Amino acid sequence: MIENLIAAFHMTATLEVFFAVCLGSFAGIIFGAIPGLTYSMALALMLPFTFTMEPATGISLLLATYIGGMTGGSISAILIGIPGTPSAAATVADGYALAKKGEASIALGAAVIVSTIGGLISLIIMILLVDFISKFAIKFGPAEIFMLVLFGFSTICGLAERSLFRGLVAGVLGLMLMTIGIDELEGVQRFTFGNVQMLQGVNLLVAMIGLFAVPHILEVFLQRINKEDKVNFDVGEVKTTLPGFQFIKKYFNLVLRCTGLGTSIGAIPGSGGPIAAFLAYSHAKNSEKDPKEKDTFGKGNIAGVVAPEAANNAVTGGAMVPLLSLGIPGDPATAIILGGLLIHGIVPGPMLFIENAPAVYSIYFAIVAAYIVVFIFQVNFIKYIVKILKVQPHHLACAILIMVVVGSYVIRNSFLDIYIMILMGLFGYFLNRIKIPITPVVLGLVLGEAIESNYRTAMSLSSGEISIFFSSIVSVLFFLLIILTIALQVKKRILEIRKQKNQFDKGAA
Amino acid sequence: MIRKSKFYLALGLGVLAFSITWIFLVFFQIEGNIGSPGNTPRSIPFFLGCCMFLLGVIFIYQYYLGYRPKSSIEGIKKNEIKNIAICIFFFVLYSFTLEWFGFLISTPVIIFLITRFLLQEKSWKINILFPILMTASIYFIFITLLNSALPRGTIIELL
Repeated sequence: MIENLIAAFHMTATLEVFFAVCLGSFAGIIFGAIPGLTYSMALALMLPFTFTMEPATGISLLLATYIGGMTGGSISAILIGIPGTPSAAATVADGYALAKKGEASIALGAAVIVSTIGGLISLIIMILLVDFISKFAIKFGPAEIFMLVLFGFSTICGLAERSLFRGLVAGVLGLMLMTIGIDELEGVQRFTFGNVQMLQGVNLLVAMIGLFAVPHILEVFLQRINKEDKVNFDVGEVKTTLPGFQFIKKYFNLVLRCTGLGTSIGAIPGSGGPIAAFLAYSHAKNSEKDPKEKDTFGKGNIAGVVAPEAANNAVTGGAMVPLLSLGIPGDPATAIILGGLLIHGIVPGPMLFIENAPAVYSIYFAIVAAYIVVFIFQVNFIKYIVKILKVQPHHLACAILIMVVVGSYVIRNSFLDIYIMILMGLFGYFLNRIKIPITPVVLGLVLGEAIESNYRTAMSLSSGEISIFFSSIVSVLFFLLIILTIALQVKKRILEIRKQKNQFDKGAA
Repeated sequence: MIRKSKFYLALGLGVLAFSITWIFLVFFQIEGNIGSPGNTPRSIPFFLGCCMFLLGVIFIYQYYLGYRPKSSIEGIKKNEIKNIAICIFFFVLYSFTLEWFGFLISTPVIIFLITRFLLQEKSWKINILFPILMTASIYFIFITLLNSALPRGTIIELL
């Protein structure tokens, strides 16, 4: 353990890693702060940069982007009342109210300090859980892993923000895309139409770049063409005022509870930051005993900033638990980080601690470094960061356009990848238009290989007997959880429809 | 009964058509006589096609029950399709020129065309300086800092 820790420290205590963390934190904060841009997009754009880097440097860049993005979302939520990321939506009510009262610097200071505390506590929980779950999961065979990955996949589709069935369509589309190319088990061509270049299939990174970045570019360009482009935001002079010790003492208990909530929710695939932040906000409001104080929620109560910010940053630690211990990414951001880990030969899952323990510890060091750098940036450079909010969206979109085209090319030095990226982007745009979520498509692409390879290995081991998937308690348990996830979502939808119908009938009467 | 929305009918029919085409392709694009029953290269794609078919049927059933999407979904207008086609044309043009003329020539030219003619940017400073600065920054990052290869252009290489 100590040897691995020392090795990991040597891997991360380099100038390259330091610069990567600074670059990632900066890019993450910017993409998190600008409404319309997401940190998932920042991660997808950063991926091609990591190709030529050392594993520790590349992974640090991605993790810092993720953490910077999660924290940066609060900047625009507080200053302009528009959340930079969905996770910061719960911060808007009280954060923006405080800004309107002229207390933006206090809200920003509170947000950054609780984000850092929440993130670091969730890291400790993550370290303990990853180790525990990995030791348990190492006993899993292909049938159990198949059921586990399928469970992760069903929660992602089920919890997709719009509807279960549209989430499932998106997930199945992702799995279908994954089957294109050479079948790795038998070496058979699938859907290649005789084209040699199609043998490699749809590259995951190219697909992610296309799905996350191109729809945004198209939307911004179309808004500009139709002269509906959004105004840029000028928020004037801004600074961050760090709260004192008394403040931390007063809210530490709330931060701890919200961190626990955020970490637990983050660990459930498909749930993520927005759910954690809103639950934490609601918890902070409901746990307030003073009725007068309770009434101030939504009108500029600092606890309404503390609770969601602690929770949404704690999600980063929680989301890393299934990723590192089981190899299941819970959201698009962790799916992209998984892609980054795989590029550098780090395969997350139960075997990771045995095969590559220093890599795991270097991830922990990188997360700590990222939180420190993000904290320093947000406290000291906030007045420069907010200047980016002034940049016209279509100029940013042009810059992103160059990066997506170049980024898609450098992955395999292939021009075909650029065209595939454009196709995927167009596909993503139309999915957005008909309100089919993109997240399950990406996770289908990421998890598809694990689902298919474990299914077929289990089937080979059982000589084609399907009963292998119900031969152990673990796989039966995961199967029941899959059924439960889907049943709960169907029940929820039926109740919504009944409510909709009753409202309509009342209106008609 | 609430007013029927045609969204689920259109979605259901689209999903059904796609799933049938997919299942058809499974039998024509994948060799099938390998492995044991239920465990061939066709198994998962075929199963996915069936899932998609089932989802298509569910959407049509939702239409018949009068289900409506939670939020309103606007249809795609002709003008939107035209504008998307123009944007995609610029994307493809950039990729094409990148292949033939390389990064250093195609990027400033295409970004100039996009900002000036597609996005109707009037400031000459932005039209001229922005493409040059972006090209220089990306070149510096990928070539100098990351030692990556950017396209040099087939024509430029021949010259």
